[in-house]
Amino acid sequence: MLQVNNLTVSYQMMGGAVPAATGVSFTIAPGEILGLVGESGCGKSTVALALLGLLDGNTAVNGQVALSGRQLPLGRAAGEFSWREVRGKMLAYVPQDPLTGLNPVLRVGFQVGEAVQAHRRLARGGVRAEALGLLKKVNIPASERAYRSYPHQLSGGQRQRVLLAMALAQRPQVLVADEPTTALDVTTQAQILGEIKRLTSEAGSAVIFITHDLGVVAGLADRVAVMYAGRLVEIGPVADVFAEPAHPYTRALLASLPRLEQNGRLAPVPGQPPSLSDLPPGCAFHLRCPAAEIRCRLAPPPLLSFTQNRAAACRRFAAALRDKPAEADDGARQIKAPAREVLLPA
Amino acid sequence: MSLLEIEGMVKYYPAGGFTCGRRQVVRAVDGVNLAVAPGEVLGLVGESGCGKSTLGRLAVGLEEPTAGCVRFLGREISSRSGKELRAARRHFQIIFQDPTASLDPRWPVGSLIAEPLLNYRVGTKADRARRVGELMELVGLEPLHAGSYPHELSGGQRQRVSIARALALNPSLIVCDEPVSSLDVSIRAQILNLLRDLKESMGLAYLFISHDLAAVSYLSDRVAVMYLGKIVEVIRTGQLLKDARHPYTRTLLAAVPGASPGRGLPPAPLAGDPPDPRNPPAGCRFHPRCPEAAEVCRRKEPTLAAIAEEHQVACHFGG
Repeated sequence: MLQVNNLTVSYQMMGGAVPAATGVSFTIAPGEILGLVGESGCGKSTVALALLGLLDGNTAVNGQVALSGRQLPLGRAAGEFSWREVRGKMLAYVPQDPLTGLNPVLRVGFQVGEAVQAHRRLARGGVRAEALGLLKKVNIPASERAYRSYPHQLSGGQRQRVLLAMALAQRPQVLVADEPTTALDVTTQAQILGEIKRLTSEAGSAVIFITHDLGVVAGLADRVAVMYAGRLVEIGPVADVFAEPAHPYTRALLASLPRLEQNGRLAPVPGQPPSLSDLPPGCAFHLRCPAAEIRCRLAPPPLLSFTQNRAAACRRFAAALRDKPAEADDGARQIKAPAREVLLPA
Repeated sequence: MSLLEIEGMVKYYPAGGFTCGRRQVVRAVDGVNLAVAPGEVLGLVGESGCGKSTLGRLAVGLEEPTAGCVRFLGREISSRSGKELRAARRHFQIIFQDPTASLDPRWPVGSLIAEPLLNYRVGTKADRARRVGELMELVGLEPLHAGSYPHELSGGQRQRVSIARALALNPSLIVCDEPVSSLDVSIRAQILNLLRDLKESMGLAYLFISHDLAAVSYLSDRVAVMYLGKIVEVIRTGQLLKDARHPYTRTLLAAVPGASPGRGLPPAPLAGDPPDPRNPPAGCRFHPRCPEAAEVCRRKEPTLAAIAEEHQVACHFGG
């Protein structure tokens, strides 16, 4: 449904252009949840902002984005008018920090009402009824009181619910959620993830869920896309990628995650992520990669697909996994939904 | 003997409001007893606002307790002041969450690490320079970083500087207040491993404060779970998954994302938000959110009682 093709974003800085995202391509099907993971500065938020046309003037955006067959504008060329058609109805956004996402001097009800009216004319009573209905739907306790409150009077989890209500007001085809639970406690996070899953499946929206937390992806997403230094390094169904990560970076990330039942020592990724303004030649990960070869230093590897729905930007491991003899249950595993973790409320 | 003992610790903050003419208070820490043995890592977990950071600051004497006392090697420190407190302080240090805020941006790394040595007039200038070199090697910083300023370093490197500062005076206890929360996953694992290695090689004890149960269980020997100013459960880390009894501990365990399937815990996410610490619920503070709350929980507050060796629970149905 959403097709992102070769999306490239660079920021104009004093020392020249900094490539924040390079050749990012992925597709997302209706109702699917795609987890976009990576460490800070890997370009995951840049991709989200580029999709929504929220990047400011000193950026250069290239590539194609199509939603339900319709080409979306990119960069500033589009102008504000055509963006209005897209945002809310086709693409909606939930930011990380609910305090900056809400206007502190307007009541919550008014702000949700604005989202309700963004693409429709409604009578005043109708707006109120619908806004209240939305607040009820995201399970805000005492929704009448929340409707009359200012954002600072609500807790972090409730504010995030308000933003979710606003984003879903127009039943968008794709919801882009940028670290919506990072600022929340684990128990509140589990609640909000549950709401996102329930509400988007009710509305039939697809979700691009951006996070640095692999655990959240494991519980929530159908597919996962891993970014490193502005490039997509691996994409595939969550269960497959977690069971058998193809890219050395994905592997290293999973190995460096502390787990509750873990006894052994963590294996951290050595070194630091490279600076985007000073990327090493070839594969951006080769300096930290335990399996780097000479060819890794020469040219950045393209995203190589090695099964029907998996791809990784590593010449060595993508080839190794492709040539592996197919398992008997391979076909079945690709069709069945990835195993869900138990953290989400039913 | 315990290295650090916290007894009957209470800390109230004025909340700037009034109820019935009386000043409202936030009960940040409300009657906490904890002890850390030499070389032991005690993890302290809880959600934001539960009072865990306040407890950490009280433990190293950065806050005045409202009531209760802190003893270090059997000697009370919370009532001491000036010279005595200063002399005691070199034995316990604290690492904060945000190294950008805790390191002076105008000082180069070498001077930042030498500052504690200078404060206690340790050695000559040459001795100190040598010790700074040792410390930097110990925490995995390159010698060339001695001349760098904090803004030139990455977040992980800055946290290494904080750790080197804390180690400078060979303390026996370090309070770590969310030391890895602001770091990326790959760097977080590096710092967790560094803390673990330092503990093993130097026999350090930590009070390791975090909201991240997985990180806490990676480092800790025992875990204390805090809810709304009170400790609700203390348990050995190895027993955490299997034997945790308090409904809040079990909820936290169930809410940790990313643990592998089949770990035998039912999903038990909480409804509602944590209550207001200005006005905690009567009886057990957890009862409005507790799936197993009964009549007695609304009336009577449970006390932290031992149910097995090194396992204490504050729940009417915990035993």
